[in-house]
Amino acid sequence: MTVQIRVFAHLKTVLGAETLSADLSEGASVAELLGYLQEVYPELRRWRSSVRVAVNWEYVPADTALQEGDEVALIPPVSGG
Amino acid sequence: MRYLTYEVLSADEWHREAMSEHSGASVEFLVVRRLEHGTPIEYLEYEAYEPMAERMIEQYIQQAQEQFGLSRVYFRHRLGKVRVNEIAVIIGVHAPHRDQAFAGCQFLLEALKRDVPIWKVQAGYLEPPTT
Repeated sequence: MTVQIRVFAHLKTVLGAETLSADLSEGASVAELLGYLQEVYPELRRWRSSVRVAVNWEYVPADTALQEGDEVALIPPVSGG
Repeated sequence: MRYLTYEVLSADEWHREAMSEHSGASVEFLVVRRLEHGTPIEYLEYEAYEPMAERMIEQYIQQAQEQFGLSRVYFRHRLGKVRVNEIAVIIGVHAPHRDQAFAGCQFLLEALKRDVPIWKVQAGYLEPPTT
């Protein structure tokens, strides 16, 4: 299955893109996606502890199972206001 | 977009709404930045994960209305380049009593700063920052 990944703020520099896609096995979790991304983008490990993940516009825990076509967002610490 | 905008903000619309209330208390919180990390700036640039930010703000407004009995909420956040002395954020609330209005306004501000996916991505400094 394929999921779309949105990237924001300084993470765009870390990953070198604003949007990515990843091909994962059926039922892969958010944690598995993050593991995959950290293999491809080792620099992401530095930021992992501060990054929250949203799926289809809602924050989710790492054990959330992903589905085909999900929009996954890597959300670094917010700084609005 | 309802709560996010790339246009210059004015508090006039909120003030007209607040003045239309016949009783109770209105509280507003404005963000106007002139410094970033203690250094004078020319502008700050904001970006957002727009659909998620809009949805989260809507959810927090509904929660604040229920929790604090707010009768009116006005919430706007600028995106893009916000020049010094321009308003970056307006949070205005109206409630039957002042303690509800103050608490509701603070609730929304804290929610914004904790959870809503908006970022300051760049500051235009008037002079090199002293770090």
